[in-house]
Amino acid sequence: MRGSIKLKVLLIGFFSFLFALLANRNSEGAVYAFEICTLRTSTMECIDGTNNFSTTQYYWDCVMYFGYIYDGEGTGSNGGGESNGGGDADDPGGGGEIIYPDLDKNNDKVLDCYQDLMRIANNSLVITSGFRTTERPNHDGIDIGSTPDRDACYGQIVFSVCEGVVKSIYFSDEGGWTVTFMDDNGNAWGICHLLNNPKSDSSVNLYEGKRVHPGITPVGQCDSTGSSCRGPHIHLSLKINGSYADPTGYVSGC
Amino acid sequence: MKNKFLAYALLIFIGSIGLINFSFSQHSGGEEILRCEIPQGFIYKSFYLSSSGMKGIIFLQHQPDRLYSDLSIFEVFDADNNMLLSKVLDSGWGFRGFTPDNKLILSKGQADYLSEIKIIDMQGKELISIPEVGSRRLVFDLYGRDLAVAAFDYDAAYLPSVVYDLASGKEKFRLGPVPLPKSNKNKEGNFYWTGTRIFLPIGKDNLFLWGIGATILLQKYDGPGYIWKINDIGGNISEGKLLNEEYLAVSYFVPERKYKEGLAIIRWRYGQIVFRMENYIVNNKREKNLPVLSVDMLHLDENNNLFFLQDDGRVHIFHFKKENKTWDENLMTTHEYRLGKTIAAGKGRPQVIKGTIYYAEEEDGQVVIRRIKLN
Repeated sequence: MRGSIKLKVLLIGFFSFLFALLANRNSEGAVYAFEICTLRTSTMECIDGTNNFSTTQYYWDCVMYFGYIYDGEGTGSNGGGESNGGGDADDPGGGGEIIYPDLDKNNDKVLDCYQDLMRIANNSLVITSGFRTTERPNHDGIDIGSTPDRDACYGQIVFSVCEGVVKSIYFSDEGGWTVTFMDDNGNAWGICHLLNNPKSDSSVNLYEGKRVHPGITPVGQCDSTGSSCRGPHIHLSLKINGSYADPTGYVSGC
Repeated sequence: MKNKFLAYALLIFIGSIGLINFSFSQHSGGEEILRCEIPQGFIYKSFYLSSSGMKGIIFLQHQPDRLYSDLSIFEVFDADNNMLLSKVLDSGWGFRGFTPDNKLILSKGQADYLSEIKIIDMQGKELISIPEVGSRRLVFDLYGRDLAVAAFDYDAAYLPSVVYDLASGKEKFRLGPVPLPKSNKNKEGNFYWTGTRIFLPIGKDNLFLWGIGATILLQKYDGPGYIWKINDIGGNISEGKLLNEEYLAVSYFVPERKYKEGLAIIRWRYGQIVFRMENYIVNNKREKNLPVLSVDMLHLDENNNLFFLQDDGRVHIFHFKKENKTWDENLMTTHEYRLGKTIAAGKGRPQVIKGTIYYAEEEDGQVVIRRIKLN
């Protein structure tokens, strides 16, 4: 009898320890270390008494790095859901379950229809310039704008194209305000020409590492902030294993 | 009754703290420094400024049914507003501003892909041409000696960062690609590794700054190891920027339950962190009344005052304390300036040079560049 109680206490203790360990891991995050080595060369002048010559030595120069790893899940209040339709209720706060519309029916972690990237009254979305066309062979993405009123796109909320996390938010001369995402398949998406800095834009409140859901999470507003284009639209790009791919292979017009 | 009195007293106390630490002022528009005609059949797109006071303005051919115009024109004016150059460029090519030593940058490409960049002098002579830049970004040192075509984030795992000597046009150094550590993948193949976020050539002594993960290093192109290393700046590096010959600004974040964003100012020669500000985001709200801690918006004036220029024209200033050579996050002043519809119309961001904000507006078929000197 006494042995059984001891076993129970031991089991409870063990599971409490395990729970504390897991809880601690979640709250503190995981810090990883890894080593990267760079192949370097060094040239040395040699004098052997009669000849002067130089020799090259190759060596590995290794440095240890550290980083915080985020697996895209379990960020609590920051990683929670957003309300449908552009609202931004990151944390339901226990106030009830949020029901998302199923905008990724084939479950490939990408929005099924690019029509759901923006919802503009009395307008639909159209690809205004395709991927690597004859006219623009270096256009490594697609441009999406509104029709019939091309200017109706301006200032409209753009929603995430994928299920994943925000990788970076930056301004470039060519792409204007740009947001990049890593989807849950490990592919990289980019949306360019956004109005304002999505980090300080109160209509989207974006930040790096934020969990995004296709067609649900607001990520910016439509504009043409790149320096070579005019007229509001967004540029959508996709990279798989480091190379550009046609986004319409994943997200169609429906 | 007593509780009510205490509540009022507390409110007055909190209010007075706010008055002491936070001042806010509104300002009207700035001083006009250039006014020029928009060429017939073209529209104004954006502007650039050089460190010597030159202004470059881009006009696109007016073709209302097209997103990309067939032609663009860029005009360059000197510090006294004399036109130095007016050049027509074919579709795909665009003027992208000035190098730190006042050369002209041209690029071919759209959105997040550049197929080529060229640097030319004022006579149109090509000094360097770099093909297949892709989505890598151009980073100049402070002096205009080195140009890095830098691969960040996802790209850094597939493409190298390459440094070119601008005088000779020759490649000087390359780093990477830096593959993502395999251990980052979880069972679902779901990972989030930030990778390279800082690659800054210094332009002296073959030095460069590299930031990867949460680690920052000062290294040499031709030397082993590193000169200094900060193992963990406090979170994943988001961006880095050299503010001047002394200070490097680094923004970082930790994507945890309480999302942390941070900014560190480092004396880059020594790897010494001299200032740090951190804020937390919970339910999309920042806990402290601080600007977005992004180095993109951060500038340093000639008196080493830090200021954040927001897209909406608000400027948050942290004054430099000479006695201990740092700043105080509790002593922030905020000013609001009218910068016109420069951002909203996608027509060029305001630019900041030596503590002065420059912005452009369209008025009656003309482009007007104005400046606001910050006190």
